Amino acid sequence: MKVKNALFLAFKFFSSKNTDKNLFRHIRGAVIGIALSLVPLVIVLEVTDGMIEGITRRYIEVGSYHYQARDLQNSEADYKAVIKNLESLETVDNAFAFIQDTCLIYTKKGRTGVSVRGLPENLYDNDRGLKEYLVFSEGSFTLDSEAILLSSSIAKKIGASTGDEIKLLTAFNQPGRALVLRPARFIVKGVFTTGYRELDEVSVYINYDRASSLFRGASQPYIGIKVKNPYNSSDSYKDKTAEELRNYLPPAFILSSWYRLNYTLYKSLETTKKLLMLIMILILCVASLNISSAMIMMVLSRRKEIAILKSIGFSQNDIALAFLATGFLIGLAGTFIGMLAGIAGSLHINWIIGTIEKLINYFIFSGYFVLNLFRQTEYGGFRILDSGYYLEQIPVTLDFFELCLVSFISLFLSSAASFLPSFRAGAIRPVEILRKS
Amino acid sequence: MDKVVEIEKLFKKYKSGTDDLVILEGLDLTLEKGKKLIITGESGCGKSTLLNIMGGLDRGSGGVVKICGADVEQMEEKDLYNFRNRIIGFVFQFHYLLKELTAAENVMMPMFIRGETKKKSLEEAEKILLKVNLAERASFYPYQLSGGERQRVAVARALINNPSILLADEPTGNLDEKNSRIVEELLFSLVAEQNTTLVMVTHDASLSERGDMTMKLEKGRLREI
Repeated sequence: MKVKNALFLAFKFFSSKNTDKNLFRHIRGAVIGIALSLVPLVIVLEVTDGMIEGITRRYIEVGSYHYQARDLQNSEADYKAVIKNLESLETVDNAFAFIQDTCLIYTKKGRTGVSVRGLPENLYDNDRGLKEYLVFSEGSFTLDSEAILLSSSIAKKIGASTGDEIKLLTAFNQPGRALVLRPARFIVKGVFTTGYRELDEVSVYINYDRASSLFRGASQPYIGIKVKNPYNSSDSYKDKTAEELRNYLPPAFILSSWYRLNYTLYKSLETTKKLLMLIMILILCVASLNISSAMIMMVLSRRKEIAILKSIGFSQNDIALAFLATGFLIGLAGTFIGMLAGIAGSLHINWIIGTIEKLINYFIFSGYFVLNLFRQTEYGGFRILDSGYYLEQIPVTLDFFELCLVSFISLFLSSAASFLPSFRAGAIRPVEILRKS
Repeated sequence: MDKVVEIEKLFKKYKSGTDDLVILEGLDLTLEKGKKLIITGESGCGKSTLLNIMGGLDRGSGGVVKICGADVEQMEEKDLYNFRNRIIGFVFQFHYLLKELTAAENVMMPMFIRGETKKKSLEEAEKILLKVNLAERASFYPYQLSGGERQRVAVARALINNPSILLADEPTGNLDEKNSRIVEELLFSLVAEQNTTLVMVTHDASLSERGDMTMKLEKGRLREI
């Protein structure tokens, strides 16, 4: 088998302008088919990657932190000494104590259940991750003893804004007495958003010392730990950082990584991504059938040429390889165009979604305008991705390895789709063709 | 003199429904190097079948076919590719040029398949195109050439590897009178120059005079006329 001969022919078959118009349409259709099926695949892949990364980052920087250590045996350990010890480690960026419990928050305008977290006053200045993802729309990260920071959705629910007075109602059991309810007064010093509604829905921050006295006896403090590379912990068997941290914690403490703490959420997102990929690859499989039909057309229309090639010394394998390489080139062209369009689409996904929403809303609002001539109706606007469930802005991450993998799958399917027609081309007996013609 | 073609008792039959249709029936032929054999005969008498068997494109049903000493009937499929590439040159009634390739690229293909570089093959193709008076058309695609020019390109392609035997199956059958004469002229002068053995199947009686030998195929055998 002479590969160079086969590649030469394949390149000519693919790139020539002298191909039959009908065959050219088939080849063009196959290229477009592959390209079109790759665009949503790349967009879905890169956008879900970005979404998972965006949600994960918010969870681990604002919610669970990279690691959490907790004294399960109530050994009355010296938290300050433990934190100082942890911070001496090179891998640790920041360690701090926090305490949390659930309460009822209320004003005259509304009330709701919240998860109150007591944090150190200076945390915002020391924690880069928190600073990046806790964005204040009102006020700032001020945690003096009477301050409370509300997420924007809670502030909206209870109708509070910066400077307003609110109350937290805590409940705890006292030995020999019924459930004791205790209200505590706070002043709103800031309203923030993390950009992810699920985190914003219940988050309220107060001063750590105030929280300790408020939840006295009801909640145990935790140690939140931020490390330089938190993503090691997604593979628990290789989590060297966790092992190092455990050596610096008293024996009574247990350590949990963000991956363990958010395991269900993370796995659910990963599974969703895998399902989407599977669906998209099935679409790619269907598109690669176009290559198969284009190759069948090509073989049928070139039977005489195949016969003459065999008569001048081309072997069965040379012919099959030439057609296989042609199928590969069709797949390569489709993959190249599809990848470029997919990457461009991924990078501009926020603009694309925004534009589609605007267009749809334009038509719907026009309809409502006509309806309003007869009766009063209200319309809140159409959203493709509700930020209540997804991020406000979709972050896009281009993963080189994944893009290479998708390209490889596409090329493999293209070649596989051309295998049978190529094999049949190789098996054509020249004498039958020459006799018939 | 060297014997290029040695055929003994060649049979060829096809299945036609339940019956066997015998095309060649104990055909014998011997040809020496550089000889030009013209074969005539009625349509369907088996002229093309004989050429196809000699060229290793088809198999006989019995007998011995030796080309340049090699028993074609006994050759493995993979050896036949080399045999067709190095020993045989084919010219058919229709040119069968690849429309995606230029005239020079079409001509170079047998040499390129043989293992020469593309550059060397193209150089040789241009040389032989010069001999068939198509040097200035080397970069033309088949659709840019006339019928006669296409057939001259096909002749050049058949001869680029300097084959021992050229099998021509009605090479002028699709051409007008003027172009037929041009192609014939080139064909005969080139095989004479290369000392190539020529076996030509034709209905054109005027060509009989140009061969060293003219034979008629009838009732499955060759008869000298």
